Amino acid sequence: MCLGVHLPYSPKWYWPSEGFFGVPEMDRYFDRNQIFSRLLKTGREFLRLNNLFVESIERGGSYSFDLSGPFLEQCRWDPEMLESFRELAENRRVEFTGSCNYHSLSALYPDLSWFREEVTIYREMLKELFGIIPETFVNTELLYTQRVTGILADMGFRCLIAEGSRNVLDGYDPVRVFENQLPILLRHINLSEDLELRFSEKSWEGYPLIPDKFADWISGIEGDVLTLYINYTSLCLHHRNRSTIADFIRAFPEALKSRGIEMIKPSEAVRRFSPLRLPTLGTEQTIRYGMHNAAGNHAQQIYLRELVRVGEELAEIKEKKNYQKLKQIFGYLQQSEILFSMGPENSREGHERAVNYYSILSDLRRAVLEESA
Amino acid sequence: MTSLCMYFQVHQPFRLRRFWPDDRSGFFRYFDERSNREIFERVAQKCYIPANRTLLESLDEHKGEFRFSLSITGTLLEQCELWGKEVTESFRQLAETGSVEILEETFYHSLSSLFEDKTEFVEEVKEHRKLVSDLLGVKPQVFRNTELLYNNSIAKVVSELGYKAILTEGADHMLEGRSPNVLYKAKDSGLPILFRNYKLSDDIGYRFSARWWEGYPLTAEKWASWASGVNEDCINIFMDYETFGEHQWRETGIFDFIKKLPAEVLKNGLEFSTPVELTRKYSPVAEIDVGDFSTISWADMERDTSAWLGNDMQRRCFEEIKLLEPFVKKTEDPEILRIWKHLLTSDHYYYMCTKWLGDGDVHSYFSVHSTPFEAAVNFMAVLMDFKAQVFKKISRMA
Repeated sequence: MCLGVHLPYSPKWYWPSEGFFGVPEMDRYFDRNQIFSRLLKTGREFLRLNNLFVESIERGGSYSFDLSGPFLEQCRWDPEMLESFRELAENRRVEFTGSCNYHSLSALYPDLSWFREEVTIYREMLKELFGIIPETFVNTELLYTQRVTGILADMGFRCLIAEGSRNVLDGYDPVRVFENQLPILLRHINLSEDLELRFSEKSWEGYPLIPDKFADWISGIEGDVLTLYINYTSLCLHHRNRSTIADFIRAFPEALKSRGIEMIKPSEAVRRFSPLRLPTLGTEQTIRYGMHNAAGNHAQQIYLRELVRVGEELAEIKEKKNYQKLKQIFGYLQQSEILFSMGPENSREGHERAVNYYSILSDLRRAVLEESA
Repeated sequence: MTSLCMYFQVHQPFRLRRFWPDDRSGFFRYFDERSNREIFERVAQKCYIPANRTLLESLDEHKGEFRFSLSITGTLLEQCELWGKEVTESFRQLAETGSVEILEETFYHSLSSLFEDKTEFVEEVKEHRKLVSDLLGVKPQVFRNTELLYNNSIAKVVSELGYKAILTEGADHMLEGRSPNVLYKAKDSGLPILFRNYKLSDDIGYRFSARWWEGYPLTAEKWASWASGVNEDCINIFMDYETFGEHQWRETGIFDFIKKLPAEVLKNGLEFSTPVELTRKYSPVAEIDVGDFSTISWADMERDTSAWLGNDMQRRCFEEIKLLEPFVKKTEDPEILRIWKHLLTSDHYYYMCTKWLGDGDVHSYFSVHSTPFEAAVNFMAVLMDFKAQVFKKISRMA
């Protein structure tokens, strides 16, 4: 079971007259006060979840954590939060995974050097903050594209967790370790979403979901290993809805154990089970069910295309004085939320945001071009 | 004798294409060659050519007595030069009759008059002056601004440029019960102002074919009798030229109406005058004060700037374009300048308007975008690409 912990570093409503000159600071495009106050609010809920998972681990649980780069960057403002994750990191029943530092979709860019750079930046941060070198990789939004599997294997990763999309599974159940250049665990969408989306839904036939019931469902599935991936924010949502999610988290490991099911870390899974080659993993297609939410409309495609161009221009000015500063802003402007929030199609807010983001990105590009002079 | 002053606005913008950063370059990287041409050709066939012909016949029939004025944008004349020289020629014929007064405006039907700094605005007026002189052989004396946008500062600049009068909308909230049927003068500059009589103008422009309207069906006889009821100095009838054959289709009888109108008007004891003639005949009766933040126009029910700058997206796009000015000028690149100026055309901002109720159908007219939101995103996509071009050029100059 992998837990995604992410808070985006959201751009603000920028006004063009703030730009058009000089080398921008982060504050030109991001409202750090607002980001910080959200961290304070959501952070308390995250801490409560951390404590719950510590209890759950004491009762036999084992979890991996996928902490996003923007979230970790925010944690630097909150020593208590950092300390709480540090304690988790030190627990031998916990594994921290690697990811794209800016929570971007850079695995889709024509040139993968930026992707490689992001993975490196993140890995260095994990080492700096927790003294950890991750073995397992989780791409932004559990995106899978076979273009990056070789790169990840070369970089020393031994496991990849990706979305168990129907098109990639091709009729198989996601209950094995798969392989394409490196071992791959595919998320079980339905069971993950039972916890993520449906848990507090009174109209759902599975309601109320108690650990025994859920463990029964799992034990009814034949296979080696089953991978769940759940976002912290959705667990917080259930918590706010006064659901029984806390009891569930505490008691889940025991319910599994009584059915002979063991909770293990991803790196253990790939060591324990021999991988199955799945031909569809070699596909040229990019896989993430719901990917059209990030790159499905004109506004999103234009933005992605522009990111690629700014990236190319940035690569030309590596020797320049302000390169690092510009590169960092460029990183944050690639967060997948920016793309997601320009959808879905025909929504009013999505288009208004796109106009704002274009304005921001065009000011950064101006600064990059001026730097190249 | 009451004067009837008719002015028709002739304009087509260069609409943007649905932008994608491919390898096209120059003007048509951003502007849609095919759809602009198709729309131009359609409007030329349905409106410009037959309307010019009809009016030319009437001018001939009522020599010297039937008079009116036209304001033709630079963007439309550019399109005529590109795709229909015979249309330029027929406008030229109208100008040569001596009974048709050609008005001045900005070349690009632009919003540059709303910049605090009026340098660009003045430049665009001069560009229009040159084009009209080159193509139609006339030197306009009266000014009409884009969408009749008006405030004291605009009047002041126009007055300093030597124009004899300015046209604007007879907006109720500004006239406050005073009549639009006399001349006024602008605060500070004293420039004579002609106010549009929107009631009698819209009877033709908007309501002509409206079956729900009590005045339906409108005949030249009926309209002329209404007009003759105005016993004041002048009746200013301003409308889009596209009323003839495009907004009001040929089938509505609009050409028949305009053909019969001159005789009916003259029969009712009115005389036709053009704007500059009004300034010679009448004196302003009072001063009008319109501050920069109360700018008026002829658009929509609000008759202010909200059709172009009413929502967040429109203001962002306009702000970007405005802030880009010094950089565009720094390049001194004629192609970059030309593109930037065409991005100031008011229509781009009009397509982004979200005041749906009532006026939405007019806003979507001639738009190539399916929603105002897409229009805004597309404009900003163009701008983002264009802005990079500008700064690339400047970086290379350094």
